[in-house]
Amino acid sequence: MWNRIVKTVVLGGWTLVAAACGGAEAPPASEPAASAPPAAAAVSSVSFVSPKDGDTIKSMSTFEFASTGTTVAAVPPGDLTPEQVRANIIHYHLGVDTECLEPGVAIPKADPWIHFGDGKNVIEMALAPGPHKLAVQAGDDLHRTLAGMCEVINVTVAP
Amino acid sequence: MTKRSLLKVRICLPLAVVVAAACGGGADQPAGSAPPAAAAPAEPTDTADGPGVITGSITFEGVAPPVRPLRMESDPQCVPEPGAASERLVVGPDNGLKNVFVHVKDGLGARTYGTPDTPVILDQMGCQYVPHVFGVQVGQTIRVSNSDTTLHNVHAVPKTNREFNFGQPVNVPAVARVFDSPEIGLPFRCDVHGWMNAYANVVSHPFFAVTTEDGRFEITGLPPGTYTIEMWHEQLGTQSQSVTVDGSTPATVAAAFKPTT
Repeated sequence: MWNRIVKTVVLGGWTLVAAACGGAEAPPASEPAASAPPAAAAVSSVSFVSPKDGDTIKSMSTFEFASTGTTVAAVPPGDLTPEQVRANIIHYHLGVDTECLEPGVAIPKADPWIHFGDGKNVIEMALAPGPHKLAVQAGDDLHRTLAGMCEVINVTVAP
Repeated sequence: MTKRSLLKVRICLPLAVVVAAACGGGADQPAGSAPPAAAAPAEPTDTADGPGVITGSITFEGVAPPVRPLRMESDPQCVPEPGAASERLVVGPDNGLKNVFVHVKDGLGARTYGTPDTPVILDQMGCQYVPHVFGVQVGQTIRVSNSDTTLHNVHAVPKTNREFNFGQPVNVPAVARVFDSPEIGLPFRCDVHGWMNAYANVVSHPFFAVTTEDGRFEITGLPPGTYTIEMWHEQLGTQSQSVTVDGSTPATVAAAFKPTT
């Protein structure tokens, strides 16, 4: 009898833990974490976790990115040569009110691109009310764009 | 305590701890989000209207380095202010050292001071943070605005406070943020324009100042007493001095920073 009570309470407790901690925050089981090593057969891509294409958002909203088939890491300090660029390692760039850049070009350190050279994947954006186009684009250690590694979404900022 | 109630305690108490630990204080809040409002400070016991004044002069020891103009060509929208230069090491007339944050580090005892209602203004102008070094009290609002015609992002990278990172395109309202614990030399950067940086200095009282181009500063409103004054520079390090304030005449401080090797 007591064993059954203990099992019930413990199981219920872990259910409570899971519920209280918000399963929605965790990435789907099928989607590797942004920092996970590349899967052997995966096709590399980057995408917005939030918001999603077509969403209506607040003026100050959190944008989060994810990737598959590649590793996200901070850019090493100092000036790198092309020979020092690490294979299959990227960092994110967020373009504000812009389209994706063509593959193989250096992402400018200028409007409209925010660099995430620290390897992070979250930012808040203060956007004016109205429609906006956002691009998340991967770059290598020299901030060069990679084929197929960009996604554009359209969102509307509520007045 | 009965066997049944003892069992409840043994199971439920650890479970509550697990829930609290697993959910963590704000751990489910993504980095870069707005920091929570600072915890309510203790009721102020004092006001900054004492008779004590500290004035001082901080100099750079040695030959002043050449002014380093900022190169902003990467963003055509960045229009530098006339004479815009790196503010990491600014030596003025008579070797006065600009942008040294000076504050009372010790000596206030148990006195506590209220948080000002007036915000600190941090602007982005000419693709530089203005001011480059500033002081702010714990819980005091920092209003960050963008006066430029280009996109910036404001990325605070503290050691003890909560990190934030927000993008601020043109023509959006100022954004308010607060820090909830003291921290000296808290860096701000812009991940669009790599040359942009600034430092917040968060203290728990109003007795601080930043040196002007001639290296001078003044701290007013202190109660009489003996204080440890700390002087911080982003490249040249930290110094401290003991100074006694009697309230009748200003106490003076002089310090010189040597170049780093």
